[in-house]
Amino acid sequence: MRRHSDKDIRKAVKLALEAKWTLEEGKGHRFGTLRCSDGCEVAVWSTPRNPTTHAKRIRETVLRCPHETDS
Amino acid sequence: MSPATKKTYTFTLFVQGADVLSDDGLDALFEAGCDDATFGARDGAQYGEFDREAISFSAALSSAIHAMASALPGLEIVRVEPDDLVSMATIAERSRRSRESIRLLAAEQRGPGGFPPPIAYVDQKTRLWHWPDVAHWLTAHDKAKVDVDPEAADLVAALNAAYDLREHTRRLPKAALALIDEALSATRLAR
Repeated sequence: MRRHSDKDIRKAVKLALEAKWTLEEGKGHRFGTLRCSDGCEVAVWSTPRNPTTHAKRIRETVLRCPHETDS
Repeated sequence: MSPATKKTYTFTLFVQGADVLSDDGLDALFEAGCDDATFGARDGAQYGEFDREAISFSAALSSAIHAMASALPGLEIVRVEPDDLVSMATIAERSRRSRESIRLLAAEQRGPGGFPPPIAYVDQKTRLWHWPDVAHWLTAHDKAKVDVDPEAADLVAALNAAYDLREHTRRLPKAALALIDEALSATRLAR
């Protein structure tokens, strides 16, 4: 897996993976797509306009996921 | 007049009719300047969550709508959030007051009275209010502890009503459309 160049986004991706989301690698402007076990997904930009804000939105997406995880 | 200052406005556009989350879709959105949005899907509904700098909420919203529509042919907006239907908890959150103080204002046990009535009773414990009604009331009586924007609330509610109308009228038989026309004839949209 490639490493994202932004520290906040790396942290948000790590949070998602710890919550048992998967990361599919993308190309072009899409760094990758995070998916929960059942119905949530969020695309991660390679170079968002504001990496800190983008990281925050990814984190919120993971935290508000309503679906069951088998943790 | 002082030069208009830009602020960052946060809102979400739910869309259909195009694959927003594909590599091509995201590249087109990026090129259209939507790199200030985070795109995702929840239970099959695709959305873009924008953090957009602009001189006003309506400027931010309209530029985002136009950018998404121009990036992806066939794309339709279906809903704008923050939603215009709100629970007591959401009213408390948006006005930075406690739930208890909203409850007292709504029950007219405190404050000037005339709090807008709920528009839906989802179940015994859940009532829903129409946010524009509440936003106007909070502003008129200076009861919000943070700026609420009644004009933005009206815009979002009217847009969502228009998107809903578009969806519903697609399914209606032609004969029923006359009733819709009649209802709209009392609005400023009438031609």
